[in-house]
Amino acid sequence: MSKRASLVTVIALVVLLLAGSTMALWRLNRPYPEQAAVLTSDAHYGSAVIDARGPLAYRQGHAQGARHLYARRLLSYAGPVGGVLADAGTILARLHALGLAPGEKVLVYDAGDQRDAALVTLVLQAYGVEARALRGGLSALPGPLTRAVPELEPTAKPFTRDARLLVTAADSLEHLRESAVAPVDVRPPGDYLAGHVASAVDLPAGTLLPDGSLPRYATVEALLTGAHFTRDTHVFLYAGALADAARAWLALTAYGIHHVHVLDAPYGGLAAAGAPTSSAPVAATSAKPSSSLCWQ
Amino acid sequence: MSAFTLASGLSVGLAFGYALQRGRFCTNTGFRDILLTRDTTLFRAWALAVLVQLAGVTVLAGFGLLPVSVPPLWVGANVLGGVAFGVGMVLAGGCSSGTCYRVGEGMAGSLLALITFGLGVVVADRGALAPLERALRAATPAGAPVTLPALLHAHTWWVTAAIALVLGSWLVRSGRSSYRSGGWPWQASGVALGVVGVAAWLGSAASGRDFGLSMTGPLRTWFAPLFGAPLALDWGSLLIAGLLAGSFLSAALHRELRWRVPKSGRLLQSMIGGGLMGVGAQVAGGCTIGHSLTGLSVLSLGSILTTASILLGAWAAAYLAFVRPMRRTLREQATPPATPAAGQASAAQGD
Repeated sequence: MSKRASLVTVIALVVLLLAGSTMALWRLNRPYPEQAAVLTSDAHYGSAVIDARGPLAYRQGHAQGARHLYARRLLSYAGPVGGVLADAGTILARLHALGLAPGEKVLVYDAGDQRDAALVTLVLQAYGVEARALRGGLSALPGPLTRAVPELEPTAKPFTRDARLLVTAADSLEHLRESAVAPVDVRPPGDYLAGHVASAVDLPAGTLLPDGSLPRYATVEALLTGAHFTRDTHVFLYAGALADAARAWLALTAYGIHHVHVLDAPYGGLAAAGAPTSSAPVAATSAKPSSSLCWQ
Repeated sequence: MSAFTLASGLSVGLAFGYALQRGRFCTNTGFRDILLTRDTTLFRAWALAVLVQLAGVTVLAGFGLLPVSVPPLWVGANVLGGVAFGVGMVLAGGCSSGTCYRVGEGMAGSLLALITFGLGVVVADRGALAPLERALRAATPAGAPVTLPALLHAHTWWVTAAIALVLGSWLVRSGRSSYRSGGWPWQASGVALGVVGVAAWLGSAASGRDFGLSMTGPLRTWFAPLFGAPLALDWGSLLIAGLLAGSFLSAALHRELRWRVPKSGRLLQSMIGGGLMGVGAQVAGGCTIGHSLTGLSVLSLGSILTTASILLGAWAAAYLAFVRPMRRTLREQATPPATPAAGQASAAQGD
């Protein structure tokens, strides 16, 4: 073995490592290609601002001119399964009362964890409003807070619900039967393992949008690659609470999945409607038991 | 699995295996030689590798370029698992890294040790020893600090700087080494392994696995199918494949590849040692790679505790297996031969 051949091998390995590390750095820190479709860092985005937090938080102080639309007011707890999206009449009444119009650009914020803002943004987008959730929530807004409630002029504009974005349990059953969608359970692994829609993979909302901020692009990419999803896969999301499904929708849309469909009810609604369920895990990359953590 | 994950896992593994074989890097030898021959050459290579990786990871993570996950603190599991691993690696004649690069060189004993290592990991994870592992891990209260900076209430940069200063000055003043292995000097292997470690953090994180070099988890991936689990290849399992290929390539290029089969007693000892290493590593949550190289680079308290326990187990086993028999032999050689009369007297006492 000549010294020259040894040197060539070492140089080749160093080049491999350098190239791999450079590519890794780029992959780790690249921005989400479609995040502008759901999220914004621009506190002056659009013509209206909506505060999606609870009534008490809103009364204690909100952004100048912010209209109040508490996320939970978009849900109904009247039926056997609580937390279902309210009926169209209720939603339209709220949108009209806020003076919103289809196609209007609206900034939505909450405390920063995106639980409320994601849900409001999802529902507004499903009804044709160009809503964007504010990154960082209330703390990202400039200027002092106010307690003054803005005077609003109600409208009666016609809104149409996008039935592909927010899907009813009945429509979901049909899609699942035809295998037209890839079901994704965004509940925590424990709930998933206790029972889930047959063939659903587990991608917990807490992993897709931890603490209200998008994780590294590479993290979501690895999860989706592990589940064999491409950007053209028709992904069907369901959760234990609609707010979690909305968070997952935010992350997957930002990532660039073109067709994300969200169940307009919690998992209980789908199971009650007769969806086939299973307790066998589907994707090997998800629902990791504690002993298979990567640090070992 | 993405093409990047495949290429990154294999290439980092290839470089890791090459560097291990060229540097003759084995923490078992490094830790044991301090006791046996008072030689710190391989220990210095290990310390330098930790230092380089610590500096690289601290800078990358500090600037927000690299997400890191810290091995948790499981006091009982770290101590017991670490001691078992330390004893096991002395019996097997190599730690996880040493065992792997020697497999690439063609050593049958190391191959058997690697196989029983993998089996030991799976038995402790899914087999009869799983309850022990769970019980030991559950014993540590939640909320305890998991890193040295958190324990000291100091910023990571300051703790890293202090360690770099102390360790760096020791390495600089440690002088020349008389250790001749025919491979790279300790400085080269230390820097190379540290750089490979940083590259592993990057490649692994970019594949959705926020950790660096490791052996236990990846070996579990390869061996779990024996217990009915599906084979789910990821960045870590490809690292192992690349590691074996890299050490094989290095040994072949340098004409150090030779199939060697030790005596059956030694083979049996390697197998037992490998199994003990596997159980210990699974219980402790990592081995001399996952804890003593990678975990230390994020200043994990669990890794510090496990490394100290491995050192303790290795020294205890080395003392019993080598130092005490050697001293007895030396004593016997130094003692003048007994007279026939004395021999008869002692025989009579024994009766």
